[in-house]
Amino acid sequence: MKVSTFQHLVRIREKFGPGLFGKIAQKLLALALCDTGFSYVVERGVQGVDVDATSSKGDKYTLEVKTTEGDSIYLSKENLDALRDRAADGYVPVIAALRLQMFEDWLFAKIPLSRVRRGSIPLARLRAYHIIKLEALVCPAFEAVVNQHFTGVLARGERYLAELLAQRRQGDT
Amino acid sequence: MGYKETVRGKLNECEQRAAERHALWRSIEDSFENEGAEGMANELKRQMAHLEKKFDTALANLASML
Amino acid sequence: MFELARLKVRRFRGFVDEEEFVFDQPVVLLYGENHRGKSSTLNALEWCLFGDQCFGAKTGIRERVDWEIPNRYVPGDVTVTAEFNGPDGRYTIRRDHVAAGRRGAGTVTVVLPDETKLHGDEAQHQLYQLFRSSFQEFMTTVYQHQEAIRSILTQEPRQRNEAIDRLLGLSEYRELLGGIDKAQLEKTEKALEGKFENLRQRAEQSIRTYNNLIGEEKSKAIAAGIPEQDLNQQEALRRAKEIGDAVERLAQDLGLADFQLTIPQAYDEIAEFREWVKTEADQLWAKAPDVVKQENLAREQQDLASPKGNYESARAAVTKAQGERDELVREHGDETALITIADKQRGKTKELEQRIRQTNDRANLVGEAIQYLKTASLGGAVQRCPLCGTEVPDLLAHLESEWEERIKKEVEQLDDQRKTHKSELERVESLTKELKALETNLDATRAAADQSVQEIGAALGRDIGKEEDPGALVNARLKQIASELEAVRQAIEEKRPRIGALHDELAQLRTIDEIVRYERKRAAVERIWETTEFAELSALRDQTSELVEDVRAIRDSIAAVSREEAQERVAAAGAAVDGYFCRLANHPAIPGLLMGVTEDTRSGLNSYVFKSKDGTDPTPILSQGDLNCLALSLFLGLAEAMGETQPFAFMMLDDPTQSLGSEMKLQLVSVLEGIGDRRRLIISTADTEFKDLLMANITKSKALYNFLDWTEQGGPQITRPS
Repeated sequence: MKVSTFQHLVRIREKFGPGLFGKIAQKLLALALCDTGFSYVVERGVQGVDVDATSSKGDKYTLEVKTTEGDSIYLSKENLDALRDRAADGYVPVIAALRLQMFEDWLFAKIPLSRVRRGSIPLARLRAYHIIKLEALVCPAFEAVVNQHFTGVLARGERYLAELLAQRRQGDT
Repeated sequence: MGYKETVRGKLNECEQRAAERHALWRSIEDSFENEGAEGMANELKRQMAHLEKKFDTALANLASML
Repeated sequence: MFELARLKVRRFRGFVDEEEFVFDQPVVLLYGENHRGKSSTLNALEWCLFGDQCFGAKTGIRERVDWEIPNRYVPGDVTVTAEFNGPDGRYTIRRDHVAAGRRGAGTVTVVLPDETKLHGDEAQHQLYQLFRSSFQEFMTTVYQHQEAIRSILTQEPRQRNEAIDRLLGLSEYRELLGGIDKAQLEKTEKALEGKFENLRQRAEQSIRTYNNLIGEEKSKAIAAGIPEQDLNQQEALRRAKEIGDAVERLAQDLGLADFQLTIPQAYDEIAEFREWVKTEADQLWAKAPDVVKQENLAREQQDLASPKGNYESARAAVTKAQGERDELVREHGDETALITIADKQRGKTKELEQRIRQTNDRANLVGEAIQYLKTASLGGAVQRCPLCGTEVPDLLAHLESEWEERIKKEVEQLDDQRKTHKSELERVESLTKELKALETNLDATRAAADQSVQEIGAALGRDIGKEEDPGALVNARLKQIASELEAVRQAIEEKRPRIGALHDELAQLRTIDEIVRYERKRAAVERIWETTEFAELSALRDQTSELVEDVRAIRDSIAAVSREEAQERVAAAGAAVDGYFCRLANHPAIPGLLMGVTEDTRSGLNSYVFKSKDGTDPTPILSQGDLNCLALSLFLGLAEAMGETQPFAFMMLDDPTQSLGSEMKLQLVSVLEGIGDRRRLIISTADTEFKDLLMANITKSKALYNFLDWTEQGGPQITRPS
């Protein structure tokens, strides 16, 4: 992503802290999915998998969203169980990981759940399974969303994005 | 059933990258058969070294832009 | 099923001449001390059947890594021939190893019951068709190696797990996993990611540095009065054009008609333009007529100052010298007068010296007379003149008085006069000398003054006539120069601010240029992730990750398969293993043995767990003998599990009684008695007690081969009592 976008995200993280930043990033990602033509985008704050979305071609994805400054992410048993449950419903399980460092971007990895155990997973390992086409589609949209809504997020945080997503959902139905 | 077939069968259980893994398994089989574990390790190191060389060149090109 | 009928061994390991073993009894014992060739006999059959599969690292047997096939003391071709009785008749398998050939594999020949001979690959293929057994399977269910028992006899779980894997015929999986781990691909991947991270951090640092530099320069620019909105490329170009126009105008005003410059059209031309203008503006100024004139006048002024000074100094020196000479003449007269005085004094002195001489003569005479009279009188008074005899009372006294009062005084007076004249002469001579010196000095100062006049003439560029005053001429010219300089100075002062302004404009352009330059460099670094080189690097990171992940997946598959096979075999043989263990070990605290396989979470390898049937962990209380019983139980249990699918109708045990007590040996014999109903037994042992127990308790017919001795040149010495 562009350095300016990265710097926006850093400011958000500095203001809201790593925990809230993760939720904000998740909502921004959900908005980006909406903007790239995904429908039925469901973003969950608590239970279950973080984001579900259906592509314009009808492919259903279920995303576990993770943000980190380091070089690995942590998958809990609950994360994996939730992914497996959705996978059983016909969704393609994806780990969406954002490393918040300059020159990094979202990584969408379709890692087989049979090959994953709970615990720390190096981002380098996810690269073997990353969905280049999805990244090429969603990453620029994410940048646009960040740049467009940066001021609003900085001012009002998660609530601002929640209202936006609610508006989008109303538009979907 | 020999070890080759059993491992191949196991690789088939995972759909993703099946073709690549079968190809890699074949090269592991061959080097193991001909040169044992040491030879197989060297073959894997060689494959990695090939990538590493290209990596270092690409990295140097980027470094020159800084 | 195939029964082993005969085995012939030549030059294999410790063997020299061909030895033949006939397996014509249900139980064949190979008995003798260690290092007599018993194990080598069994190994020979292995090698005959499996060639190079039975040695090297992949067997999982440490002792087989550098295993030698040919006899090292008596070189020669190796031949091992094994004859089997099969369902269709006699099969002969012969393997040869030529002494100079490649280590190990040898060439195999198979003779079928119908006398068909097969060689090489065909023979090898036939072997597989006949026996359908790999070396691993042979080790698991037919030939129980002493190395396998030895390696179980360790309390270290990791080593024991490895030994049990080998016993179960899973060594290849272990070797594969070991080889994969040895490649250390994850470590290399981590190193590459580290290199990428270094680059990323360097780029980030580079951007931070540029940000700082831009910030600093912008602050300076704003402090210098440049508005922030002007700090961009367009403004830099606009200012460059303005500067160019100003330089052109200045050149015209300075009278330089042929001056030319190029205004930059693109940002990249500005840096060069700046340097050029800086150099050109200074040169322009230097070439301006007024400046040139000013420099020339100043040079001339400087050139005149020195001769003027010299002239004035010279004139002063002449005046002073003249004055000194004239004063002396005034006081003492000129040279002629002084010479005259000197001559006079000289004459007087001479005259006085004459008179002094004359007086001295008389004085000498009187003096001599006085001496004569003194010596002649001898203390008395002399009354007569020694010359004419006239009576002269007190002659000596008289003469002495004359001498003292008249002669001596006269001499003294004359001498004083002489001295006076002489002194006067010296004074006059001195004055004359002084006068001469003053004259010489005066001449010299006059010459110097003439020289300085010539210098003035040279500086003014003209001859100076005798009627002309050089000093006045110089002063006149200097006055003129001063006047012209002032005029030029005023002209220059009017133009100087324009050069100063030009330099100021250049400085501002430099500031803007620096900022824009840093911003461009920063942007170039920021856009690094959009370059094809970055994409190439990303692709390589992906490929590296894929290779590592694929190898990881393969490794996991190997480990999973190894575990599944272990679980299958353990499950298939579990009851039998338990049965054999209970019979052999007969441990009072272990009512039964359950064996399971789990995954070692750290290494992914098989980890074997044993539980007593009462739920306790028996491993802390297993003795070496118990562990041996466990090894034997595993082997016998697996062999039993194979049942009729086993191609070979015999079983080989090599040194099975390691660490067994007498009771356990007896139990083993009992177990073997039962196995003997199903399989023929070939047992190698150095254990006399065990041999005796076998001979006494096995009810089947037995053949005994005694390995009596072994020598380097003779090989094993073997007998078979009838």
